[in-house]
Amino acid sequence: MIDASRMSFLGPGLDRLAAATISVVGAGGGGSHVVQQLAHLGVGTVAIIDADGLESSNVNRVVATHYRDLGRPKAEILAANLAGLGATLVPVIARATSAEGRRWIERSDLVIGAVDGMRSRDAIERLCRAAIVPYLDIGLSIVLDEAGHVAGIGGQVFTSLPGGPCMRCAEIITDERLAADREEYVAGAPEQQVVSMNGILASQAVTGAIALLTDFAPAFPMPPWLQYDGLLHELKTPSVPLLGPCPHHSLALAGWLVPLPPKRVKS
Amino acid sequence: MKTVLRAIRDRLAGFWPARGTQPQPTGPAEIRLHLPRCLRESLAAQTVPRVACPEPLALLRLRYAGEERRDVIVAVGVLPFAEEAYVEGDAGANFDTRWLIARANDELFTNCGLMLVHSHGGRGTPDFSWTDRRTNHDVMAPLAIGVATAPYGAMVLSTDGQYAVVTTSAGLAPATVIIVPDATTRLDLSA
Repeated sequence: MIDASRMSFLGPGLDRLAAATISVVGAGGGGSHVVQQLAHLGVGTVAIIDADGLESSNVNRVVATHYRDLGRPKAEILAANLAGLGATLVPVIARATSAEGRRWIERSDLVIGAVDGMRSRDAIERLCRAAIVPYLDIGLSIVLDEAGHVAGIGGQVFTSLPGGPCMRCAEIITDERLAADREEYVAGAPEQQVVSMNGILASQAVTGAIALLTDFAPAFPMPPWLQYDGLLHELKTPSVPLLGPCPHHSLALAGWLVPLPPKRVKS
Repeated sequence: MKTVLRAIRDRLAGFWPARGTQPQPTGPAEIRLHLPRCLRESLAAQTVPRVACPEPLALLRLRYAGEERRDVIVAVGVLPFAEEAYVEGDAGANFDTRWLIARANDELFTNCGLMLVHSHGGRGTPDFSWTDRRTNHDVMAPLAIGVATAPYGAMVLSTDGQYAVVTTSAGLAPATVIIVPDATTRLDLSA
């Protein structure tokens, strides 16, 4: 049991945090920050869903890992190195779309995704919308020009809630990006990432998770979308508002939907 | 007179615990029901006692979250209980089961099952009355016979709590109701 005396403003929400199950998809640069913070918060159960092992190029940004851990599954490393802080950490060494991954996502109170690529984002959001589970997505992109200098640093914290706008509504996910994602994956294009900027987005996502689960400030609804600009040092709501309802993930169509053929009408 | 007493009871609902006749089951329930907060509020609004109907009913539309398992159920909508479906009787709410069966058959075309919902008022975790249990057993559970694709059940509300049972292969079983924050209650979509 954690000493929560300095978080007492969360009130009865502390009990809800202690009883909650949160799945974190992706145990990389963003996800490791998220897991670390959820462990300190004393969230009941944190499922760390990631199928990959730790590589040497990961250690500069995946918190709570060491070079001596190379080769071991990242989920297992985080669960071992962050144990004892107050949360039950469950390593799920599988893809989010595997049977085991889906099982954890569907049985979660909230899911936080910190994954590379649009196809994974799309898949996780679909799973969460189907199971009516709130989903917070974080992503960071550092773009270099031809000379290798920084041309842009962008990112987002997206809160995808039942009945609200989705990442397709925000055009974070588009068919073009999904197609490009596939090409980049095949080409193995390296992504630039840095621990400090991942931490900004991860911290904001965890703050959003606390707000949703504890309801500590119900009079202050959350923006569905926060954009990060690392060059301008800004985390802001987009100037273009997102208005519901979402045409892509209707609440009425959630769950396992295999409609029967329409009734036969006697003529 | 009975109606007046009920109205007084519900006005004072906040001051005493919810009516309940059985102890709550201990330990975590295996089945989760994900209920968006906007639908919970809709259920509360539709089950407010009226002079003509002291214990109004509502129907919650349900689906299984996924094809492979039956332990996560999602609530996807609320159906109002039609005025013509109520009939005369001794209980707080008496309804025509043929109307309910017709609605259940209609909902099957979109893989939806139904949960019968009413409120006992009061505070805390409510429980079903003896009459409710008989209705659950005799009316709601049989709706699942021959239907493997949709869940059925019953829920009783208090002003700040709820208790639900759903059909399983072993009969009615309690479900843990998770009130899910949703866009209409937690997001600022005006910015």
